[in-house]
Amino acid sequence: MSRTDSNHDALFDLLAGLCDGTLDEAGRAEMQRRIVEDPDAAALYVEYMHLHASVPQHLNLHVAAPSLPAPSRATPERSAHRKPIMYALAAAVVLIVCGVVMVQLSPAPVSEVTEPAGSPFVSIIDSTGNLFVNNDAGYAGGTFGAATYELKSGTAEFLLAGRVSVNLEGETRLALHDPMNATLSRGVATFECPPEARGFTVKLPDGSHIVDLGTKFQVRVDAAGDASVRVIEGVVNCQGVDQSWNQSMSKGHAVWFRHQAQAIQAHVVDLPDNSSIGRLEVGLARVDRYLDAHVTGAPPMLIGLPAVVPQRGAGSGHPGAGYQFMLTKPARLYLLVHDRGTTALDGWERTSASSSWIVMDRSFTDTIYTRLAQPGVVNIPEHTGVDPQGLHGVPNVCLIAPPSEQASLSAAHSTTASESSAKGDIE
Amino acid sequence: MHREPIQTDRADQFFQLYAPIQQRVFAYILTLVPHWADAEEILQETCVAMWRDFEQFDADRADSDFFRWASVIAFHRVLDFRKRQTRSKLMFSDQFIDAVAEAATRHGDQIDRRLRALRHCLQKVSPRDRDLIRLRYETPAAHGNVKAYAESLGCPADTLYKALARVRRQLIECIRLSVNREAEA
Repeated sequence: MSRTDSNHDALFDLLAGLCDGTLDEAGRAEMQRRIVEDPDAAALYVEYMHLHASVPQHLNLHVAAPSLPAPSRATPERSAHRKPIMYALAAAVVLIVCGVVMVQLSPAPVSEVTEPAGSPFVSIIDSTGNLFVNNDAGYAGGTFGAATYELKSGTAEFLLAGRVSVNLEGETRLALHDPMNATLSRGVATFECPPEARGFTVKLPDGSHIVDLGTKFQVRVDAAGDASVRVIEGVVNCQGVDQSWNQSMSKGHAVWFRHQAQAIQAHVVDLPDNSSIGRLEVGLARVDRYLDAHVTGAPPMLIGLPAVVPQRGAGSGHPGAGYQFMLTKPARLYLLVHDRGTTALDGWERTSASSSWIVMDRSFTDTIYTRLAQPGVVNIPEHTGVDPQGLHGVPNVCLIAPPSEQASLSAAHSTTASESSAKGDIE
Repeated sequence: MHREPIQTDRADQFFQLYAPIQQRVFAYILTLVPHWADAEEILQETCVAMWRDFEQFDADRADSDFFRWASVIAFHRVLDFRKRQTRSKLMFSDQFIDAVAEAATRHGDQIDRRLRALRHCLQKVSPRDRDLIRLRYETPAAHGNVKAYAESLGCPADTLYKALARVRRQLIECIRLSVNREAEA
């Protein structure tokens, strides 16, 4: 149901009253009831409050410079504009730090910026984090040439001359060689290629290639150089460095690469839209995009395995969402099941092992189940367990291992980041 | 004044990380504490706490996300604020906070797209509506000068509040349309 339909007319009125200070106690109670009971209402509330919070800034910025002052490229971290502020910060007056940043958000003239050498073909559309182009500051609205683009945090969006759209997320390092060639050595990048950019190629740290055939796809490279590719729309062709592996992938397909493997080995699965992929490691999201939930410990023998991480679904008042994916080869699956109530897991064998995770400083554990799976559709059941407060468990994370993998898991063998070890490849 | 270069660099690094996300952190706090002045106060406390704990943030770690780190700290400042306010103010329930925090996280990846769209949509509203919005948000914590403006126009304040509600809804619809078009482009 659309959030804009008449069912939410009353909620719009309540939200306006909240923002303008005209909401009475009955209205407040009614708004609270709707938001607690209806995830769509909660989403609309968030949407509305973001608008409310952002209008003042945009009223100023939409007629002036739409972003923070761009630092001088020559000395990006020591611009004349900020130096006095930084010296004040050096005095460790913490409140000044916070106050100064508030001031900095006001509109201000954009510093003069010198473009780097070379023909520019990269337009930076937006950047919400710290972006550097060959170690100098990058900024929204700037155009640059062949360079290494390094995002420290947040997101950044580029448009290449070949009309390829590039989105970076989090700490990411991407070398753009020309409008049709890039190398991703770290982080997450999503590429959207129009038909005229067919053949756009992304190289991975081990020399593997992803060649676009008219599509949108996401590439993720972790600190160890292991990569994963997920096709969001269209078709790509993945090629191993020595041509020993060559795979066409279409919408929903995902593949995990192992850096420094003798040959590219991969396992293509067909994934649901509401999931992300990664490898099991300390820090992996336990639930996709959910309150910073992340893994804090897991059995060493499972570290490094390809992981399918689903989204939360309708919220803690509902069962953790089940999902399906397609396996193209036999595999041994491991399921991380939130220890909350009891949930039916027909066909899965319970192990003695567990993993742990944290969300908002609250620690939780998973019990690990396993089963062999043949090529075809794999049904991951929803988590129906409920705690005494009526909160449902989060969805199950599924790990994919070679079918020969034998589970000999022990709860005593949980690991931490420093103990993480690479896991054998899947094939 | 005694200067310590390392401290200066650290402050510089903090500034570089904090400035781009401050608006998002404030929006996050305002969803949890929908009172402008309170949210600003919590933002200040969050900033102080972030600076105090900044050594714990390792920007070089693979999973480092400064906004996520900031939002966890902000969430705890909100909880502290709620403890302080429990006896003096009528608060939203814990269930409400959980539902909103969950929704804010679930839709957090759309914030940047929405902010871009807002810039575009504000240019599309009529000059009269834009003036009304500007009037309202000139002093957001004090709910603007809507009542005084209504008096000067000789119309009930309620008329202007309804107009504000209508413009905000138009902006929401415009933002959704823009974000969807961007996704389909």
